[in-house]
Amino acid sequence: MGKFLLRRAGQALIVILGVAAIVLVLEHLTPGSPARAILGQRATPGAIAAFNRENGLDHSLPVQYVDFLGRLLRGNLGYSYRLNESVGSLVVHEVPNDLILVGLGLVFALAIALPLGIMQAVRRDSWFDRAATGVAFALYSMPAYWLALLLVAALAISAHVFPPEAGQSTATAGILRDPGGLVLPVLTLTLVNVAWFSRYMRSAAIDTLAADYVRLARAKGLPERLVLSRHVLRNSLLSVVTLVGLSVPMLLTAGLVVEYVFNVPGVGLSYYTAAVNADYPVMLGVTVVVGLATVLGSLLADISYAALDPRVRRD
Amino acid sequence: MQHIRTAATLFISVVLACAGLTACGGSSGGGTSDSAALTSATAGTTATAVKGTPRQGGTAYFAEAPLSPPSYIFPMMSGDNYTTANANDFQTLLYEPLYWFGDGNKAGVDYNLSLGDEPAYSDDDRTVTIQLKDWRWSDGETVSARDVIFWINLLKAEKDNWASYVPGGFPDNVVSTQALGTHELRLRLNRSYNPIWYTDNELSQITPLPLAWDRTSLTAPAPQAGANNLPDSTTKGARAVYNFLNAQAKDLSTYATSPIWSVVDGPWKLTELTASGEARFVPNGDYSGPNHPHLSAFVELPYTSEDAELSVLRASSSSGGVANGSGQQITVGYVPADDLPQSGTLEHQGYRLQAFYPQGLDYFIPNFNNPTAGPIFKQLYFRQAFQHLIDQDGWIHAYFHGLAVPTYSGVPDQPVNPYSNALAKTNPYPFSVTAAKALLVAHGWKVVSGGVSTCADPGNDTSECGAGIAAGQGLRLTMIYSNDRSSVADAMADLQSVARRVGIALTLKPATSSTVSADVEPCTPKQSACGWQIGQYGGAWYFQPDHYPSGEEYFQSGAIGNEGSYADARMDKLIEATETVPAAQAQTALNAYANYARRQLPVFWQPSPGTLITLAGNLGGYTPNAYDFINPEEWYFVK
Repeated sequence: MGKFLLRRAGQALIVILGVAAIVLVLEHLTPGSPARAILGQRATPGAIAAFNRENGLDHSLPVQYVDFLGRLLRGNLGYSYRLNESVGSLVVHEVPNDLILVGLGLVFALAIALPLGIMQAVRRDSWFDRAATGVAFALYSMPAYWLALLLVAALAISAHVFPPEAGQSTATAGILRDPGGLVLPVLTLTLVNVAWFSRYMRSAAIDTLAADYVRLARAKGLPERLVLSRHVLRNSLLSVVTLVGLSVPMLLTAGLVVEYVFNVPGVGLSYYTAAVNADYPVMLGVTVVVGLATVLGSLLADISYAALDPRVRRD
Repeated sequence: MQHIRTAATLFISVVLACAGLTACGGSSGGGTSDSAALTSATAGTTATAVKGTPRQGGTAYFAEAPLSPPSYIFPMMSGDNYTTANANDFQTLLYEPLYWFGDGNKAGVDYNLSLGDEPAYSDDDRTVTIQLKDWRWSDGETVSARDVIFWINLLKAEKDNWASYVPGGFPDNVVSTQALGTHELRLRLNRSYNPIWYTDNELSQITPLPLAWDRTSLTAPAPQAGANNLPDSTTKGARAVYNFLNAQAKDLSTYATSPIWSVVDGPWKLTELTASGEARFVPNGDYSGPNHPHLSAFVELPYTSEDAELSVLRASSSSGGVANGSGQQITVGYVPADDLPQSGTLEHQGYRLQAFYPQGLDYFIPNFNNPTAGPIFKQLYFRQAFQHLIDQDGWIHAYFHGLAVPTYSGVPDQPVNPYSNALAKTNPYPFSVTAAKALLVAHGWKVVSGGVSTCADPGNDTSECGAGIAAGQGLRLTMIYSNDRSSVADAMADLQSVARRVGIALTLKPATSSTVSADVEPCTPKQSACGWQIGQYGGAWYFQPDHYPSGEEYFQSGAIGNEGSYADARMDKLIEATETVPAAQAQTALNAYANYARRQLPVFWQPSPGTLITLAGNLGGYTPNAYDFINPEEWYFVK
């Protein structure tokens, strides 16, 4: 296991460095001067030169990349041109928001999707299965942004049941102290994720239900509850675990929409804003963090897979 | 049969789900997009007066622009920090500029609110004497002439780090600076200047700084007034002080507690700036100016999007409290430009609406140095023809929901200001496809409506296409424009369609505003950066902190803001006159410049959009500032 983890960590490092290099090159392929984009119409040549000097943009691309790596080794993700804040500090402030929102959304989505998928598989082609499939398709095809706005319109503006924004405390505990504010953003993420997790779970459970070992368990007289929980659930989870692990970037994308609509400063939105505003250090820094999260998600999926399936451990 | 049943079930489920959601959405609209709602969002919208008795105390909440929280406290800012959030909504609450611009919604200086009395010009307008009022810093020190000199010393040492520095302008045009006493100082200038121009564009940049900041480390004792050889007295020392203050300003977490930044002379003190950008202020108990706050606290709220801000407005009740019992109410907010049709609903909720137009000019820029399009743009007849294709009134009605004012001149007529003249009210090139076509035909173009017009008569004669335009050259132009706002994208699509009618094939390249900023820069024809042909920022040139609309920063040959490289000797002379004539001739000179710019079209004029401010039903004292500053010290709640 140790060797496996080391090998994966090495692969992760290479992936992250490669992605950072690609981002850096792409940034410099965009036309125009970032200094002028940042400093605006009134920027003098002297101001542009000073900006480039201060931010190392007067160096060649390879030197800038080496500088970036050097800073990265010292734990320095760079300094935002626009926000007057280090990228590290930005990430520290914003990642907890994402973890709470996306994490809760994921937990609720799984809590609903897993039993729902199994129930649909067990009652395949019943009225219940078809209705759940219809709702899942409707949610799956619905843009998260639109769904979020509809929930705000219905539950915050019309019915006044929940606030239209998440709690505005910057501290993690502060956000949790205002659970009402979390309902709509978490509900949005949950609904979006339930749709596709439940479809995968249903499909995997249908396959599992047809397996010989399930037939054997039933033939041996094992109660249906135990058949489902011990054999069907565990074996069907394998595909969903992989899916969850690999879905970290997609979850951050959905997070961006939630951050935008529900007034939650988060990493997804910071990245988007940095891309729009040519704030290169934030783009690079967030790329590294998200790359790390993706690799970590994949790693956790592998470990979970091994925990669920003894054959993987033996291999 | 099985498939049909499955499909039918699916269809019904989707329809039911959508119907339910649409019903929710529909009910939220509450009458949105009706024409009645639009009528309130017109150019003249002025909030109705608040009813009730003013009371002391209460907390007002102000909506920051999306993703634009305060992020820099030191008033000497480079361009990356020079934002409305920092300059207008944050720093001026704490540190008073020498002159306060914007007498309510009127352009010009408000000497009543200013730290300095009206400056006195003498010696043929080569000398300016500034008299300061007897104001104090919160550390008890007097706001003195030396504090003004401190600013000037830092600026001289770090010109490249001051966003408004123009080579040859302030402080290059100051020969000497002398404190004549605690409250008086004299600047000797390198020539005679128009006093109005000098006050509005040069002295306007000054924010006196407390001598408590004149140091290079936090551990060093705060300098005392009257001490000799303060660090800023030499260029090297001033640089060290600037670097220290700039470094301190990069630590946002210390803004509320720093011994540096807590020395203020404005009406407010900062008590908190959160990591997400929420800024909390309380009245400065040591404030010695004329406008003492009525509120007990003022809070600026950050938003991640205009949608988020609008949702909070819509979910709140307009006069105290939030309907759902969570979150915060917005006392002073805004209706996002793309959501102006919802203004009627907000009025129905009890918000009062106030249209606001900052002093500025709106235009898009032809690149006179582009190798292909430059020779075409250099022809006045072509610029006139192109301007005839811009339907400003139609755009204002169709795309800006009435919330924009037309621009016809280098000194705009609207918003109302003391600088414009009668001619600025009339459009010399009103929307007319026929007039545009006639101009092209009269100058040697074979106009192909719906196709591409070509130059049939090359040459320099008055009836020919003009210098640099070859026979058969087509009218193909490309415009890069900012698509941040749908109104701009719609207007450009309209222009593209109208231009086609006279055979101008206009290719539109939508981009983010920062991409437009990066691309649209002054260039020479041989540079690769000169590939852009027409640049559209989608935003105006605002007169701040250079408030006099005299054009030297954007229409003068070689000016930094002259992205299109427009060069015209007569324009240069007229602009120079606006800067240098005596005060008695200032308006005549400004009129001459404005009218020349109006007819010469160094750029293509387009409407300047406004903002629709939302005011809580129980808030009084709010007046929009002509330069987009805020004065929460004047706001109050009513019983």
